[in-house]
Amino acid sequence: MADKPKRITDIGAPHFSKFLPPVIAKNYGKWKYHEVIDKGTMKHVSETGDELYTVRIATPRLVSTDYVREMCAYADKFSGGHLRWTTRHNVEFFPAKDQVEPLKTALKKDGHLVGGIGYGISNVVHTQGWIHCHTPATDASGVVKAVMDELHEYFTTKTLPARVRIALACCLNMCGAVHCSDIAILGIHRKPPKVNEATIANQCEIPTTIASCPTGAIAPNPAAKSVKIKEERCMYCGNCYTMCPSLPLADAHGDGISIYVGGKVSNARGVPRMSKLAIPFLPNNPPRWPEVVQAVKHIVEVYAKDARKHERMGEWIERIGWERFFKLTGIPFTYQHIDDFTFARDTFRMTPTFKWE
Amino acid sequence: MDAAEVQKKVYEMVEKMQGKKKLKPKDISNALEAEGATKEEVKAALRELIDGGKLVYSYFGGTAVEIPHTEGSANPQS
Amino acid sequence: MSKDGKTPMLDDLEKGAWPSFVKEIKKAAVKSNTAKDLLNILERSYRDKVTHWKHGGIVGVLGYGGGVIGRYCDLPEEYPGVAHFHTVRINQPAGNYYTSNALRELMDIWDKYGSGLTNMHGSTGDLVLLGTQTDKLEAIFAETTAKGWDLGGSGSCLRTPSCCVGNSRCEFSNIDSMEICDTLTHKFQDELHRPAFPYKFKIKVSGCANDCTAAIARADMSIIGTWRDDIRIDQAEVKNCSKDMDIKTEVCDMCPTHCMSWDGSTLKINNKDCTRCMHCINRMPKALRPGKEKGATIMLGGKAPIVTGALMSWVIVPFMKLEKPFDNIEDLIRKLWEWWDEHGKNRERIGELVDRMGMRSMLESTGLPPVPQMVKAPRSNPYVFWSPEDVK
Repeated sequence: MADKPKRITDIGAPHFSKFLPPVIAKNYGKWKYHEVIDKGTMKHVSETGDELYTVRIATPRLVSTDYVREMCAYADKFSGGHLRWTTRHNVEFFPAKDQVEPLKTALKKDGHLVGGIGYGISNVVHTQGWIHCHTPATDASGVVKAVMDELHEYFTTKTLPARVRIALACCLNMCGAVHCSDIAILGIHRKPPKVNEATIANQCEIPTTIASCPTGAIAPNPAAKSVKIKEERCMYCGNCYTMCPSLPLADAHGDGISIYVGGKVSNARGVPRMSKLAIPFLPNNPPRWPEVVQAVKHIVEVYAKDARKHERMGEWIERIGWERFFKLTGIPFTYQHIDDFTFARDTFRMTPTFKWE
Repeated sequence: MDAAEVQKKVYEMVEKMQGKKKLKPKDISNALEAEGATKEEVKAALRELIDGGKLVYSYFGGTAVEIPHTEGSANPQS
Repeated sequence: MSKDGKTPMLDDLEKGAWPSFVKEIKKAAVKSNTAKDLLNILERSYRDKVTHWKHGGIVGVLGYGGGVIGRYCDLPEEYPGVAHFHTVRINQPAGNYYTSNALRELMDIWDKYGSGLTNMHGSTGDLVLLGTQTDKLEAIFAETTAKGWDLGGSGSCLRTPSCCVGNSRCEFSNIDSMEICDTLTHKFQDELHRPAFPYKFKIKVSGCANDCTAAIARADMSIIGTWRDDIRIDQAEVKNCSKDMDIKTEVCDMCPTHCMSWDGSTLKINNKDCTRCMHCINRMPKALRPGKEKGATIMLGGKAPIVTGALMSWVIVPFMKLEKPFDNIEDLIRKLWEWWDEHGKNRERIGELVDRMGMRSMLESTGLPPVPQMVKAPRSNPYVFWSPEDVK
């Protein structure tokens, strides 16, 4: 390796100070208050009296280099060459006061959705799905696109009692950690992996494959240089498939989507909480997943009608009770709703006080 | 322990287990510490072997150290 | 792909108001066969209702154990453009601020070596370059590092730390979340690139209890800004707020500790009862501000479900001052890693280890004292493990 040029390693990310707009660099740590001007615009005011305007738009998360260049062109024209991405895949620009309206007009003219601020639905945090993942139970980008085509007005104009954070993970490993979202759309498998006996001996290390299973559902099958699946133990995480490509578990009929609701990470008013199962299974029906879109829209609409101002979905459900949530939404309650995994007992009702509906 | 000796032992250990068990850096360290090497010596040896391309990290739900090879899922590059 | 190369199902997702990822893939496909075959194989997945990807665990750049995720399609003869479809994680700058020039440089490199598709950003926070081949990885690494960028984490290592906008644009922030994130990223370069942990470890930094980075749900170490003294009140601004909102109903009655009262002219807060949840400050940012004695609550253990179920982080240090050069938090993290390294099983996250070994083991090895802020309530079960030392 001595003849190669010296490699640069371990430099980490560039320091953010290289990228800050001058007004931010100047007022760093001095912000006094902010005002939400409309669903796509905020104003922050510094103790120095300086003002910072932010304009936000939605992106599809999966974007082309040309899309990024397009964002750069807006930044050059309206925002001093500066821009940022939010943790929910929105783009933000920092125009001077007199550039706010021209920027918004230009963005809207080019078909971009200005919004995402305040009480409504911001962009959906999601995973890769069929675009790039090896264990997904559904697509990610397509489901999000279909859902948000239906709900986009909550991003741009319509308001809700509080923020509704929607997130999608395409399998239960949740590289997108969606488990504390107001509405979590979660891909699930329902069938154990199938052993490809023709390839497993060549493709996979048997002991590591067996060790990969969190529930001990894989047993050796030495005669065939293969493995056996104890199907009743499998909870469909796909870890074995990561280890061994001869154990695919994707299945057109078995795979689909479940909906969890009522989670949040903010501590405002009440502590953070995990999302809980509302709908155990909906089928994969690409390209538009109509059952999923309708279910999400329905839950949002029931919440919008019944919740009090500032109440997040989980706070609303806890006030009215889960029994009334199922009544109001008309969602059937099933065996799957009752936990039978690690933390199950915590969820049982240890009091005879409850509502009938 | 002498640096070259630690490297040799690390490599042999990985070679012996290749295809049978995926060794984590921690497994290697534990084994060689039992033979008298220090944690730091094993870490340095791993770094030397990996930077030299003799060993590589792999990730299959957990990180392991292996001798470079074509993995089961790999396709020929078009 | 149907025989004629048409993609009718995906074409349908070009319609509608929400921005379309299909349009983006098509834009990239004009220049890249990889993007073109991504479109084709995705249409195939839409038809088959299953994925067509296999995991590759061994590709990467020399010397690093993370930053590249290997992918191969399972139909390489039909879709040769995506026979390899590896992902490169670029460590994002803290706060996700960019200049147009810096982004264009990255995009030019990516057009040269990859599909021209990217995620801004991935779930953990990295800028994700999506879809390239094994033989391009070293060139991508050389060109991006030459421009000042480095790879993010993957594997059993420190994953790329991330943070909220903090002091750069938020008056709620109680800590310099961006500087903390950047500093820790640089202090821990070895742990980020050369995986030596039992499993992954994530750090997220949020400036206040609104937790815009979802640190509590998504990070093994959640650093969340808070304060110790009194909320600052501007009574004149409170009065202004009362013109547009019912302060009693929307603020006082929704306070979880009922520590506030409003008589129409003065807002009173019993700060001793306040738990700093942020609701009142969120509602009246012009009138109320966090106190001046700022720091962070340090929490441990958050993670997604795999392997034994999702956890949310819990308090291990109720209040820690966090100021440059942040040696105190570095020191704590290193001690936690040592304890985890010593006791953790393969693929056991640090929160799960606390679950298995108990808080005491972790507290003793890190030197943290037990305090009531760590628990919702003390134990009710009488099966207490006494050590001989305790009984002396």
